[in-house]
Amino acid sequence: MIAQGGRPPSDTPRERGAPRPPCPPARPPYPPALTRDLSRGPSLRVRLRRDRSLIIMTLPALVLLVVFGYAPMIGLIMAFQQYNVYNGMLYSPWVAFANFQQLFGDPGFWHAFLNTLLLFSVQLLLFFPVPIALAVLFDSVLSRRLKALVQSVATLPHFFSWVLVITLFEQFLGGAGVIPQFLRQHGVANPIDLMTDGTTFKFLVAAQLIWKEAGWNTIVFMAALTAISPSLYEAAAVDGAGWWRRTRHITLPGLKGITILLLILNLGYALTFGFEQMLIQRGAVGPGAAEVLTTFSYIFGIQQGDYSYGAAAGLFLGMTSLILILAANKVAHLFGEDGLYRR
Amino acid sequence: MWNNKIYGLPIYPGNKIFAGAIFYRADILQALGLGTPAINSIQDLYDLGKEINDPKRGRWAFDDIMSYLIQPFGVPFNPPNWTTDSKGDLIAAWETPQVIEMINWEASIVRAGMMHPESIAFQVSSGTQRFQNGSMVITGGGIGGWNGYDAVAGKAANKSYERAALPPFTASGTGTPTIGLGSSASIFSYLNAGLSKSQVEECLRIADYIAAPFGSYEYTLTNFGAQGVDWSPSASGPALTATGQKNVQQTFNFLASAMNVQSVQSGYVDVVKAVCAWQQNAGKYSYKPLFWNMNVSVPPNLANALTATAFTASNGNILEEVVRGKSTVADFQAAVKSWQRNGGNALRTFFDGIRAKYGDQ
Repeated sequence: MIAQGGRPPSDTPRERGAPRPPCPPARPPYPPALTRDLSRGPSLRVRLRRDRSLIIMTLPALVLLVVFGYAPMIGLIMAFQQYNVYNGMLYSPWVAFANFQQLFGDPGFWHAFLNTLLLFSVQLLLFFPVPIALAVLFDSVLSRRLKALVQSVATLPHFFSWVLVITLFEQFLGGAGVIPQFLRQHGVANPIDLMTDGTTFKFLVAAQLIWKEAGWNTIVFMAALTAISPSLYEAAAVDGAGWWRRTRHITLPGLKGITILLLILNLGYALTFGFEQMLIQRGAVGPGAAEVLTTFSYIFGIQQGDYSYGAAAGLFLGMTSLILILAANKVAHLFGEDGLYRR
Repeated sequence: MWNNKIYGLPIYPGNKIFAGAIFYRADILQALGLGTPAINSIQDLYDLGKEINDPKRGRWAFDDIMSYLIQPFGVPFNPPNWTTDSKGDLIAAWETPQVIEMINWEASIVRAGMMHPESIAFQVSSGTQRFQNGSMVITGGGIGGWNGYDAVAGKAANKSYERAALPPFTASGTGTPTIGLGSSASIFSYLNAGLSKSQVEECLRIADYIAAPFGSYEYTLTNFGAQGVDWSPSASGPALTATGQKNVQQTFNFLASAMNVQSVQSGYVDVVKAVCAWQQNAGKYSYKPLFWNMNVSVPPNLANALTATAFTASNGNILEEVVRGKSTVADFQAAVKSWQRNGGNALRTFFDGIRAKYGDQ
């Protein structure tokens, strides 16, 4: 019989404070072939053979990552050059950190940086909880057909392009849209044009994002919900827990891990989010409201042909995003969560 | 290469090319009892806008017409956008005082609620639709868009649809209007410099054949193929047969082509007549901008200054921002100074050199 805690039974239990008995002699040594430290797991060769199917399946994604993720990073050397299309990277003159000096001294860049953080914070605050709430709501729908229908309708806008989404918003909220026109016909002389108003733009952006992506983003949370054992709900219901208590003590804790993972990944996109959405609306609301780092990098780098400047902005953006992700991951680990990976 | 200049064969050339005009819905003005508008100054245009603007009924007076206000305000926007100041020195379009007057005027129509909200929101792609469905009465556009196809699309939206263009006028209402000519051709074909004299002559003979004028036997053969096989006569000109639709490709025109002609589409002869009458009238006021018809290639380091996207980008350049109240005239002036520092002045020096060496026409 094994005692509780897994400790082997002892014939003469040790008195509290009594000296520790001497350690048993070491086991006889294994033959040399078996002396490898087993705690390090099987050898690389064995692991390669064991996992070859998985590795082969991963290869295309890896190639994709190398070709489109890592190889273009060679272009980052442009950030340290005065790049000229006609001379190419090999013959363009080196300027060390001149592009970065110009970047950090540019008030337009800092405006774009702060505006990115502002828009992202509003988006995080208003958008992030919505898919969780929606997922919990969908989960509580008992009719399978209704659930599938509602989910499909909510997911559909994800497949619309930003141009279409913004046009739809324009048709409803724009100065000549359905709502302002209704107000005009009912005595409001100058109804607000939300599509060109810089002050409310941050909320407009969040609203567009919620309409387009909230349904799609529920998918991950719905998957996490299916992982929660129904017996927990049954037990809680038997104990008299109502819907809110079950949600609070079973559903939400069940979603905690995936929520933190997505939050960290979101932070990684903090500085790069919404490029298309902002670029399309930048003219309408002005750069004061819609300039973000990606549009800044595109307009002053690509569009104006100053590739080195654009690359410097892009490199800064990438590095900051990486730091944000690593910091958020660290915080998650400190709180005992998995974060991006399990420690 | 002749006389230190490279010459090419012009494709689709024209001797009076205009960038565009300010158009209005003649049928709507008629219906409102305003008749044919007599616009002699920018104030007249503002007053007309006031009369037709009726947002409650879903009708706004103006589209974003800034690109076409360059004519009344006399702003030289045909690239490379140079003009001269009182001393005869080169200045760019955005350095002229008239450009500030122009953006201030357009800002005033935005403030007065006379510009269509979708135009303010840069919904450029639906601009034609807004004009055709009558939710916007005055717009700007290229002359090429004033044709039979436009009449067909417009009448599909509204049976009485009629597009008309304002003749050139001056913003102040005084003096003679001017309208800058666009390049006579924007596509060229070139002969290889290594060709022998006889080869060059042969190529030119072929080009001469392909560029035979509209209505000639050579023109019809090049553009429509053989009569009876590829095309047959119809009321609106040669009509391609089934064989012709398979065989005829108008690729020869990209080696050399005849002078541009206004052709009738979908039977709208009146539209072509109106276009020709407008062009004929505009021709009286036309002038050749600096460096007109000179294809100047600038060094790569000056290319950005020449493009000057801060003033020319199609969506959200600084001029458009001032018009929409998102930036101030002071911001615009700061952008001009920035342009001067970052290549603009160097570009001026470069064009001074071109002017000294080759002239400016």
